[in-house]
Amino acid sequence: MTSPRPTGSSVGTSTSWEVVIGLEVHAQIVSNSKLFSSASTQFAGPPNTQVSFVDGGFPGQLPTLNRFCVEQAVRTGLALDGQVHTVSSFDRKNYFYADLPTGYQISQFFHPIMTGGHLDIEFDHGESKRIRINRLHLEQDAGKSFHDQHPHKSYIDLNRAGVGLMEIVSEPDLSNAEEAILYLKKLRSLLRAIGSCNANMEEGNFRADVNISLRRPGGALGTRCEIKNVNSFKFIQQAIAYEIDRQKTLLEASQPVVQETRLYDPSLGETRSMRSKEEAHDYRYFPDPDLLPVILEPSWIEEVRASLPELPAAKQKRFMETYGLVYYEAHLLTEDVSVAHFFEDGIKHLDDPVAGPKLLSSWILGDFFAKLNKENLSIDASPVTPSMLAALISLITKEVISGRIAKEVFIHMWETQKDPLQIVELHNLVQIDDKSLIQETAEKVLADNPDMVAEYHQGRDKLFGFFVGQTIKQLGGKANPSLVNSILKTLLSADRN
Amino acid sequence: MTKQNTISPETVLKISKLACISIQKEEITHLSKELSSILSWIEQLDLVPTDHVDPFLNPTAQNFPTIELRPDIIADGNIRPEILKNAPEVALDMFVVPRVID
Repeated sequence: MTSPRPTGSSVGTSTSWEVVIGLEVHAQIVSNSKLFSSASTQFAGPPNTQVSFVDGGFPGQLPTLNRFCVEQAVRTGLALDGQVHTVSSFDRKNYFYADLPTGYQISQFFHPIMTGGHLDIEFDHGESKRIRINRLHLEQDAGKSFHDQHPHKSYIDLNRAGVGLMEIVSEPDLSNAEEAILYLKKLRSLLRAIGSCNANMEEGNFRADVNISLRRPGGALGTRCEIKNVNSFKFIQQAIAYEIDRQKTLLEASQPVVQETRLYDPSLGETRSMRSKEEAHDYRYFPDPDLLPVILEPSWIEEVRASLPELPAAKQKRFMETYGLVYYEAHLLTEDVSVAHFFEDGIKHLDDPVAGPKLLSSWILGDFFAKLNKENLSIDASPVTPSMLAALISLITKEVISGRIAKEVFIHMWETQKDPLQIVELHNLVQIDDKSLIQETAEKVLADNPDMVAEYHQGRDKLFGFFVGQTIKQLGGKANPSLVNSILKTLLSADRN
Repeated sequence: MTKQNTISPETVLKISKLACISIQKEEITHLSKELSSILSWIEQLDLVPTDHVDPFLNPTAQNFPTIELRPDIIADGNIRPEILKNAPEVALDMFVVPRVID
């Protein structure tokens, strides 16, 4: 990981130090069974029930590769625009730890299944930066250790041992914590979109190791430290901030940064040394004699490529072009594939294909998301379906109800799952479009507030909103706001003359 | 490159550490000699001319063997008693080991 940074990229400077970050992500593959055994990969099953003799490291067992795991890695490699290799092979990474019964992890060290992809991260202001991917390789996950059950002992559950992982290694193209988080979120969204990883940090199926070093701008790469298994975006951000500070202090005092593995401790908000290079593991990688090379037909790789769904970046672009959404909206709608589906499902049921999509987008990102968050529901568990929300939007675009009333209807709809039109009729919420009634009410509002009318004429334009609000209120909130606006404007300008 | 790869006493110590096998001081010289001689015996293979032999990892070779792939179905597991049978200590259906925090 010593390739040069791409030119023209933004520079993470911290008073004349440039921060260089590379990320290694361990993404657990979505599959029914493990990488080399037919035991289940189900999360949080009863301890040691999803373990075969292969996973348990019993003598005389042979690993057999899961075809679907290979396909998932190929899908991911292609989605990252990398080169999927027709020949790759497995190696043994040797180390001793209680959660690794065989004494070695089967990984791909010498010939990974994919090299050389990239991921473009986007900033709020719409600019983007390309982060190169060094490689993606297949390997086994280890078992899980519990250190909190006993004061002097660790408990080992091997259910996770042997579950397929994709290790995705970036080039050191990231310049600060913000970019690192953007990269991880983008990767998460991509993996979810193609269904190769659930990318859920809390469940531990998406884990990141952070490699970080400092150098003088344009100078040679500094000595890096690796921060292991930081398990939330917040902690990654904090760990990077701490580590930048720590290395900067050392370098400015002319002390060397020691190449080592460090662990982030969230309770103390600091990283601490796990092991330095001198005692670093020598993994003694060698080709696994139990496993023949993986040889893929180029035609099959092309079939997999053709079967990929639309990727989030393409979807985002299409949403902006087709539905006239701005970057921010399109980004939020495409980050999670179920949200994108919800939106497009709703589009199909809209009455007004021009004004509808934009309104639907702001409703999803506004009231709808707020309600989901409040009720702590995932979008798939929403009581309001895409067609129901679309029907509500159509009532607004057809001017049956105002946006304000729609908020009320939405609440009823959420609680009763009734059709919005039915709710409107039931609660007598149809918009008032009766011009003479509105005019009459508006005149009354102005007559009741002569002082404010006078102030308005003296230049307090803001009071116009007050008159609109009062008029709508008098009409039970149901008055057509644009009619109220135009009628009040006419009345007030007539008044001035 | 024959006869160059002698295993020094330092290497013996390193290997024993990596392999988690404890050895006595007085064994080191003996092991160093023994491992070196095993290595030079294996190095006889270097005498075989291999210039025109394809590397094993070469898919362009005729009838190149490829790995066997299995379908992604659950057909194993649920054998906890057998899995835990050889564990020196078991609690809460898990292996109990001396505490190791790396």
